[in-house]
Formats: sequence, C-alpha cells, structure tokens
Amino acid sequence: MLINIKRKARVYSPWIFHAHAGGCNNCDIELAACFAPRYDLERMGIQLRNNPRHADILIITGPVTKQISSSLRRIFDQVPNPKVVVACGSCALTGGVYNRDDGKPNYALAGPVEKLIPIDVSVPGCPPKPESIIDGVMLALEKLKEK
Amino acid sequence: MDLEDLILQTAILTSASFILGIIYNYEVRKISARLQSRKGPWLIVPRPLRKSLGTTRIFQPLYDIIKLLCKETIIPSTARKRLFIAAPLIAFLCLVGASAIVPIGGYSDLSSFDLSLVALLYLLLGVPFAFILGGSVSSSPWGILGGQREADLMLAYETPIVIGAFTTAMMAGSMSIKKIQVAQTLSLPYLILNPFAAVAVLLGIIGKLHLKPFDIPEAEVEVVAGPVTEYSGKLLGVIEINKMLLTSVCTGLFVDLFMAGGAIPGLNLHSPVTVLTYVIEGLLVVAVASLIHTSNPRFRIDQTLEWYVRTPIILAVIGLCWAYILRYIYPTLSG
Amino acid sequence: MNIGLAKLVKELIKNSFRPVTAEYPAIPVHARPHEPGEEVRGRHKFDIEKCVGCGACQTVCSSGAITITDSGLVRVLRIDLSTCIFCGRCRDICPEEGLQLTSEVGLAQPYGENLNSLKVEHSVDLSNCVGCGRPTYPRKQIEAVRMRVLSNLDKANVDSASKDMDIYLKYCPDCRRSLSYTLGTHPRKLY
Repeated sequence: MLINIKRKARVYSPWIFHAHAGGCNNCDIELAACFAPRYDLERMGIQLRNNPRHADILIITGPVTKQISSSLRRIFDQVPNPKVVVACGSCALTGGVYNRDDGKPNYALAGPVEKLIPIDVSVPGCPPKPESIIDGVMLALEKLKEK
Repeated sequence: MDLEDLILQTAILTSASFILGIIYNYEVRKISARLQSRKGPWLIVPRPLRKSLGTTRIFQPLYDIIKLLCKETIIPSTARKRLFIAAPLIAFLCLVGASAIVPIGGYSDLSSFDLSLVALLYLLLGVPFAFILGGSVSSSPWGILGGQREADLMLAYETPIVIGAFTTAMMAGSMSIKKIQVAQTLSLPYLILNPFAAVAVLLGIIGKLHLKPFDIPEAEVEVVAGPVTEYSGKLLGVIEINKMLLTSVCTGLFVDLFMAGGAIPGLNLHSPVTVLTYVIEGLLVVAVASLIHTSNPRFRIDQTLEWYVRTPIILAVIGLCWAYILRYIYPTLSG
Repeated sequence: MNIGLAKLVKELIKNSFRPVTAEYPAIPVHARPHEPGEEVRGRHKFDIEKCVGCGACQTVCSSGAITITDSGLVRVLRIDLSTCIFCGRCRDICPEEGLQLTSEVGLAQPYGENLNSLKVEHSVDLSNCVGCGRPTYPRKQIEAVRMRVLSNLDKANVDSASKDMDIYLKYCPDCRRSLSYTLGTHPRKLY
C-alpha cells in the first residue's frame, strides 16, 4: 500500500523542467502555452519549475548545439531520480530542418537528443500543438509510474 | 500539565495545522488560477480521467510533499553538509513549536501562558533565519543571493508584524494569545476596533509567506529558486512541509489576534463551532492574500524596503497610536 | 491604491467566472468552434487511388522527411513524421492531389516503441522497360502522363500521338534515346 501511495503521489504531482537546446524557440512558445489559461497544465498538478533539482520531467526542445551539449548533459545529471525525459519537437527527435539529409552532417550540431541522453517520450511536430505536448506529458506520467 | 500531555497536544496541533496549511496552499493555487481565468488544480477530476488521475486534487500540496519525500536527494559536494541538512530541520522545529502555541479555535494550552505571543514571534523569526542559513551554506550563488534578499526582506516584514501584534497585546492588556482572544470576545474583534494594525500585520504576513509582490528571495526568473535552489528530494520535501506549516501558523496568528480566533460571542470558546469559524476565517484571509498575490507584479528589493517603510510600518504606528486613543476614550473596550 | 489597480482587481474577479481552459481529454481540433479546422496540419495521408508515385513531394520536402526507395518492382514512399515539419508543401506540389494532411495532431509516442506509427507509407508498382528489362516509372504515373499529354493536344493529332506513346512509354529513358530513330517516335516530334 505504501508503494501504491508513493506511485500515486509521483503521478499526481510531476514538476517540469524545460531545457532549451538551440533551435528556433517555437516549441518553447508552445510549451509556455501549455501553462497559459487555454491549456492549463496545472489542472493535473503539474508545475513548471526553473530548477532541474526540483524536476521530475525534463522537457527538451531544439536540436542540441555543440555549445549546449555539455550543459544539457549536466542538467540531466542534476535531475534527481526517478526522472523522465520528453523530447519535444522534430529537432529534438531527429534534428529536423537542421539535419538535412544531403550527406554532410551539420557542423553546429552535437546531434539530436538521443545521442546524449536517453529519451522516454517523443512528441513530434514542428512545433507540436499544445494538445500533443499534453498527451506527451501524460505518457511521461505512465513512464514515471513504472520507474 | 505534564510532559506527555504537552507532547500529545503539540503533535495534534502540528498535524492539524499541517492539514490546514495544505488546504490554504491549495486555495492560493486555485484562486490565483481562477483569477487568471485558468482552472487550477481540479477540485473534481473529470470522469474519464479518474482512473489514472484520482478523484479530487484538494490535497495537491500533500501529493507534492509525498513525492518529494520519496525522491533521490542530491547534496552538492561543495556545500557544508551538516548545516545544509540541518537548516530545513531547524525551521521545521521552530514551526512545530509555533504551531503548538497558535490556538486552533481556542484549543491550545500553551497559548494561555503569559508571554506566549513573544515566544511565537521569536519562533517565527527562526524560520527565515534557517532559510537564509540553508541558502548560504549551499555554496550556490543563487542560494547566497536569495539569502541576502531574504535578510533584507526580513527586516522589512517583521517590523509591522511585531508592532501590530504588540498593539493587540496592549489593547487586551496581556501578552498571552488566549487572553487576547478572550478579550476580543468580550468587546469586538480587533479587526473592527483597530483596522490599521490588522492591515499592517496582513501585509507583513504576505511578505513572510513570500507571496507575489514580495517573493523576491524565491524569484524564479532572477535567482532560480533562491535559497531553495540546491535542495532536492527529501530536504525539499521538508521545506515544503515548512511552507505549509508557516502558511497555517501565520494565518492562524492573524485570525487569533484580529478575528477573535473564530470565537463567537455567547458561545463557549472550546467548541467545534469555533474551530469551524476559525477555518472559515483563515480561508477568507488566505483568499485576500491570494488576490493580492495575483494582482501584483514582483517588487525589486529596494522598492520593497521603501514600500514597507512607507505603508505597513506607518500603518502599524498609526494603529499603535489608535490603540492608545481607544484605551483613553473607551477604557471598557480593552481588558 | 490607484485607479489602475482597482480596475485590474475588478477584471481579475470577472475572469474568475469565465475560465477559458480547454477540456482534457481534448475534443478533436476540427470539432472546436473557435479554430478553423482546415488550417490544422497533422498526420499525412496518401490517397491510394490518386497517388501515382511521381516523387514530386520528395523534391520539395524542406526537412528531408520524405524518402523514396525502389526495390524490385515496388516503389515505397515513406514520410518520417518525427522529422517532418508539417509545412504542407508536399500537399501543395502534388499534381494528382494524392497526398493530404489530416487534422490528427496528437502524435506523442513512447520513444522507441511502435516506430511504425510515426511513419506514413505508400507503395506503388513500377513497370518494366521492354528494351532492357530494368524498372522504369510507376505504372500509374505513365497513365497519368499519357492522359495529361493527350488532353492538351488538338483533336486531329490525338490518334497518332496515342499510337506513338503506346510504344514510346514502354521504354526507359536510355532505351528511348537509342531507339528513337528506329522506332520513329522522337519525343520532339510536333503534332
């Protein structure tokens, strides 16, 4: 029963940290919209925290640039366990428009997120709609329950 | 009163004020959400989601705390480990003592002791000190910055609280919280008799709870999370518990000193009805505080100090003078 | 307290009686009254009847999400939704209107599982070159080209042109070049 309560509490109050890893900022705007009145994520008890130490869910947007790759890894290490990583947007998943398939790799990218840290949930879209992001967060909750 | 009784009463009062704190904090979140035309944490979860997300979210802060207590705790290697762990616990102990003194609807034996008001104000002073300590030893620049801001802010908000509280003590002619409460049932609540001091104390409490215009130490876009930045997991859970207790103790202080602690004239002070009115009055006070929380942007630290000197402290001094005048005109009103 | 703050508080209290939050689980995007459903660009859908497999969508795709692979006599068009930016250029360029974007935008997936759900695939048959036996163009594309050419010609020339094309379209480009003289069906012959 104690484990049950523990799992319940984990699912009922996930806190989100949003890491922006380059890119065009559009996913960030859509993510901000998730916490605005229209798609209020606080209904589910979810809060946006500005601190990786307080977070349960790490949402990463943007293709990871070389400049930010070490910081991103550090942010991931600072999130206490159990944690779930959500890659939000095409860039975070595959590099999107920054990773054109013309034979040459982009000199500014340290690759999509999966090269650096393990991803649990993917939210495709450019940018993903807020509904899509909410769905992704709900999937992340299920992952969180299992961990 | 022997020791066993004391410990039992402290435990009961602490847990009661913890539950009240949870409800108050839920109210702050819900009301500020509704005022921003959001929905806030669900009071009743929609039917299709009940299986996965529960039936009600009124205990949302409790879930936060349980989750944090079950999480991994990271202690930075450059922090002073013992002090870093001790700081939230010191604050917790101070708040356990404080919540034993603040009567919930008249139920607290400790509050009938003389000078219990002074003891309460001292214990409440311990909380920001522990907060500053935790930030300073965490070796994070944000923690140190937040600690400095809290130290500045503390000077500003403690003054109106102390002046206002002692004004009520002067009107009742006693330093005991219970006697202040009884004196109000004999005359009128001090909110009506002395609104100046009441407003001053309320504004001080808003600063103490770090609600919106004065959340400078925890300003998330400026200093990440202030002194709490490096805390995570179980220690953050203790800090959240402290927040709940502080909310209910400060609200209780206001209700006890200015609204007769829920006592209704003519009824016995020790009755369940008093507890009910105490809670309702507490909810009202929190509603007013969260209205202020929502409708104001954050002040800068220098603006805050200036504003506190200009408005609440002057109001508190006016309240003090008004209490003198009142005592002179209507000697029967005050005990 | 100044007048502005009083107005603000009044507005806030008004707000509290009219929350604008959308329901969750969400109503489908196109069913909501305030959002124009046609503008939403979500998961792709090939029209099996109309798509000829010409590959115009691949050439305009700005993020390289559309790939075309020929294996044997089958051509597979694959759209990787996790790379796609949903700009809709593939839909706009498609000559046969064989590719549509539906309003399904909830594409979130657990990472690494059911990979196929983030891929939209469509396969078309290729035809053989009569001369050398290599696969050339999709059968449907050949039909579409013939229809399009014939519909633009004068009525007097339709018969002879269609007779020429019957032969001409059976060959791959290389064979055409080498055989055009012997067959007497030069592509630049004027009708």
